[in-house]
Amino acid sequence: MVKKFKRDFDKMKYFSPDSLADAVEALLKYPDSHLLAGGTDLLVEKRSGKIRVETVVDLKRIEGLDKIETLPEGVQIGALVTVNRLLEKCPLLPGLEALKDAGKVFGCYEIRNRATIGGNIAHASPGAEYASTMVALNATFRIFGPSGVHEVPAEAFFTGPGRSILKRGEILIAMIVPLVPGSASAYVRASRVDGMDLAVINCALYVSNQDGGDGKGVRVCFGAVAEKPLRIIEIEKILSEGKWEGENLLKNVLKCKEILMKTLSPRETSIRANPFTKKVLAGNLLEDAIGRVGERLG
Amino acid sequence: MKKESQIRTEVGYKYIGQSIPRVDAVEKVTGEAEFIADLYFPDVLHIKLVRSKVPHARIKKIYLDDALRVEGVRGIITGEKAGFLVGICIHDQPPIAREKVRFVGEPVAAVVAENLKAAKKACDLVRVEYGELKAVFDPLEALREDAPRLHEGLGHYFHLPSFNPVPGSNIFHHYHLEKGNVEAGFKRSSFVLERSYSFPHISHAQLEPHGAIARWSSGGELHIYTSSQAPHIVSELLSRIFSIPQSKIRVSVPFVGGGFGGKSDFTLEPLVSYVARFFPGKWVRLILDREEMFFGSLIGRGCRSVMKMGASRDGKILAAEVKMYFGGGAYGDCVINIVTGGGHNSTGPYEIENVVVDSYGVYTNNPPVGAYRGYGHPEAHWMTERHIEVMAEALGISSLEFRLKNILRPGSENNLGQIIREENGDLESCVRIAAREIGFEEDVSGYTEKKKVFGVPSVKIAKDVSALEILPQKRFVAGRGIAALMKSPVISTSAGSSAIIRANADGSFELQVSAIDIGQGSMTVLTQIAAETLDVPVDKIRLFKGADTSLTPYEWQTVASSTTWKAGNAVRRAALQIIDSFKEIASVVLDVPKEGLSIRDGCVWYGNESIPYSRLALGYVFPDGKTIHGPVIGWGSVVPEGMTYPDPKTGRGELAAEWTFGCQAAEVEVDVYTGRIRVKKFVTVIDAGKIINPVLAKGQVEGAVVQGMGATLNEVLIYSKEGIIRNASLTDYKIPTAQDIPEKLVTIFLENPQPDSPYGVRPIAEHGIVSVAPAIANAVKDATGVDFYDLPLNPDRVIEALYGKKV
Repeated sequence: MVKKFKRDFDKMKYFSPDSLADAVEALLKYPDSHLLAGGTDLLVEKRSGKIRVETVVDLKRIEGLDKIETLPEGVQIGALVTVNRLLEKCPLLPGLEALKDAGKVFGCYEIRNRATIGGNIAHASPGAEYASTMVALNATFRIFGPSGVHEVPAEAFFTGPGRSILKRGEILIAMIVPLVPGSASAYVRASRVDGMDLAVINCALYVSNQDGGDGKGVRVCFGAVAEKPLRIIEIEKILSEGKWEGENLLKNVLKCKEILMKTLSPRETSIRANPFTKKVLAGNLLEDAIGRVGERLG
Repeated sequence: MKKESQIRTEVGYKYIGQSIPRVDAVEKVTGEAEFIADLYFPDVLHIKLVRSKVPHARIKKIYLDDALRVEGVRGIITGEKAGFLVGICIHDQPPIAREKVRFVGEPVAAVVAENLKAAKKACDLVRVEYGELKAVFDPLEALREDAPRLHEGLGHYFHLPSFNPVPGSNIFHHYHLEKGNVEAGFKRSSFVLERSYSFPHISHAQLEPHGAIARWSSGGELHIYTSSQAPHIVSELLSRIFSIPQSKIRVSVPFVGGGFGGKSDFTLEPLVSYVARFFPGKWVRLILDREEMFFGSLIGRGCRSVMKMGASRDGKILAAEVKMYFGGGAYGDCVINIVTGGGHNSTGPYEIENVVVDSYGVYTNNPPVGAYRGYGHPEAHWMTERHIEVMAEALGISSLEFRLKNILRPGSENNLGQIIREENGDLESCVRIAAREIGFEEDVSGYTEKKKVFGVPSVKIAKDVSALEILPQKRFVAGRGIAALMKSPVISTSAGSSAIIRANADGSFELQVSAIDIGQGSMTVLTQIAAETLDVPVDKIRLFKGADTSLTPYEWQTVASSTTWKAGNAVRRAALQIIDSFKEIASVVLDVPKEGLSIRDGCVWYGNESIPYSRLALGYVFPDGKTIHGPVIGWGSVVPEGMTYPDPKTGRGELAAEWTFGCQAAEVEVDVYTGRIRVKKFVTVIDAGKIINPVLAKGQVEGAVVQGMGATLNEVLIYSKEGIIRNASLTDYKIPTAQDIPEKLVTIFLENPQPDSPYGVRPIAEHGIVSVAPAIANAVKDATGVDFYDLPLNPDRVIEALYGKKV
């Protein structure tokens, strides 16, 4: 049964189900309905007229979606965990550093109090802090829908700006980040001001000592350089080769920068930075991330 | 309040020079202060504007039928019925577009409805058929022969005598200044350098959006509430355009949440009054959205300039030739005086024997430009203070030395032909102190590679090195820069101020002015001046919080950093008149000559005998009940005396009533990886004359510095090819936040008093913004070796300069 709290708020229909099944039912019953988590994207887009919001399905009353749990397969972050909650509660485990790096520069304190990790991901902005981060960390997304629960790798989730594989009636409910001993990660971004800003471009890097025999398991993901978070396998391969220090690393970083300059083609129309700037920044942010991960690997 | 009566500074002031808390602090902190959007009226009608989506077009037809059918819509007003043009110095703007639109965002129709939702809905249903015309967005392009003309009627527009529109062109004002013989000066020069500079359009981004609420009474009187810096200008303007006496117009200004020049002259008032006239007896309300603030009112700056300067081998500037092109947007009235003021002060605080300035106000298909803190001076100093830096490097002398060789000193003749006097302030000390504070005169290690005199780059990333080869040794490079400044208030020759003080029965006072507290603290400072002059505690003065042309006396407008100086003088004169009346009464009561009386601590004294103000305020009542004099009122009135229009041929004359000199210096850190510049330390030294309230004065300077930093590093209105502002929201128009403020903000005031002003004050509110951009850019040059000539210094510019646009 769909329980509803009806409120005459601008004649908007507002549902506040207490189970996922009810939420799905509401989503299916009202094909133009929007999911509400923190609302930091939804309300802004409603006000600006970018979207029409007539029906809202609020997820906040559903229990269990705001939990962080450490499971054998990794750390499970509920979709409704707010950024500030993540900063406070997420265990400081090797490999998870990027989650906190991203949280610290996300919006401003007030926004971090409302904004949820799941909302940030499901909104699928190409520059979203947690899009690049989850892809680099090789997270798995858990999705609840009419036919039950299924999981997808983070990388397969995003399909374009503001678009994901989520179908009508499906809800992103949790992200599971694998835990690998001896790994480290970092998230870095460029912004226009130090205070509240969006990422002009971002870079998340994950390195594991245990993957793939002699080399390193490296995953790199850039945000706001393409229509969706962009992994560049060629760079990951280069960074997996040889020792992670001195001349070798320097040589590899230069190679990566060269590849980024050649392969990236950020859109010309961005008002946050021109394509040349973004390409240069991509290389420099990667270098910065490598430095941070290097320190964290010890 | 501390025990004020005991505190006297060395010059004997009790309240002047004290950082008393703002008199409006409690209302503002608690939210009780009422701003325009807080005012509610019964049955108010709401305006929502249909705005042009094209930059330049003839309006062929406006289809209103669908929109008029929306429930709740009471009418839609277009510009056709307005038989007047708006303006003060030049009348060139219809209240709502008529025949033509000239910028994206220009109001084409005003939907009036019972609620905003209906108004919005109807707006979407208004269809406008345009005959599109070629548009032009750059002032230099707008000057070309084949450029589209924005105002075919320019030759017929009314304008005041001191302005020179060029009919048949897009030039709505050309200001020309000549001093000495420039050609001869360049011939004598051993080095001549010419360069172009640009300062883009930016937004004031006031915290409070513009708004106005108006009602025409059935008897034909107009009452308008507005968020304005200029109620009396608005009153005069409305009187002219509606052909009714000012005595039938009442302009009320509640609390104002930030102006920065963007609420000076006029903004929404003509439009709202024009629309309200169709709905007599009804309050009609228009409050802009945050997004509309970027194109729906005034924008700022937008100047391209060229400077040619010649100097002798030993560093004496011999000649300067300046061209400034202000892209004034679609209408010129609110920018026209910037063309003159920015023009005559364009060569900065230097004595140059031979000068030619040509400053043009040029129509472009952008939103109209208006005053923005600094009023042409930041644009001019961006050019001159960068030029000085580049010249010094080429001459092989330190730019500090170069500046000191050429600055205006007592006895120097400025561009206008005025001789700088001792009392105008001590620029040389400002420059020396700023240089010392930023560390040019001492060894500061830790930053630059080599501890050389400033101006020499410490780290140079050659432009010809490909980005791929760059792996900078250092991610952060630091540098220091300096830039001097001067500003005079650019005001009308008859820019009057007045004040009224009334004595209450208990010896407290009511003070009325029409100077607007736009956040700068004028309520507090004017209260302090009254308290000091009357010698009563500040809580015995109540300043009327707001302005109302039917209640508060004339103030030309709250602009040009002139309130403390000008309105302050009026307040002081009003207070002196009160004292004079008190003494007159007391002399009768005590039967002593008036001249032998003095005032102290709220009493009139003769020797040891005293009469408290409370017994004089409403006239003196003798023991038998007989009363003399009656209620005491004082008034004060001032104009900036001796100002003249510019000479038509040379552009010179008494155009500046005052001068304030200063110097700014920056220490920056450039992030070579991200192209971000961070200001680590910023120093401002101003010869401010007497400081009335140190905390407020410092706040003014710090606010100006941070605002200037925003324009230097980030702020720019980004236009699409079709003239649409692409970043019309705070998401992408980034102003500095608390996190972006420099770690060290140093403000130093010299207090050489100004003789003709109340207690020796000098204007300071804008000055902190004037040379922020060149000080930072000069520091960036020191850090990276790169010279920048265009603003803002955002990552796109820095990355391109450092890495070269290769690959």
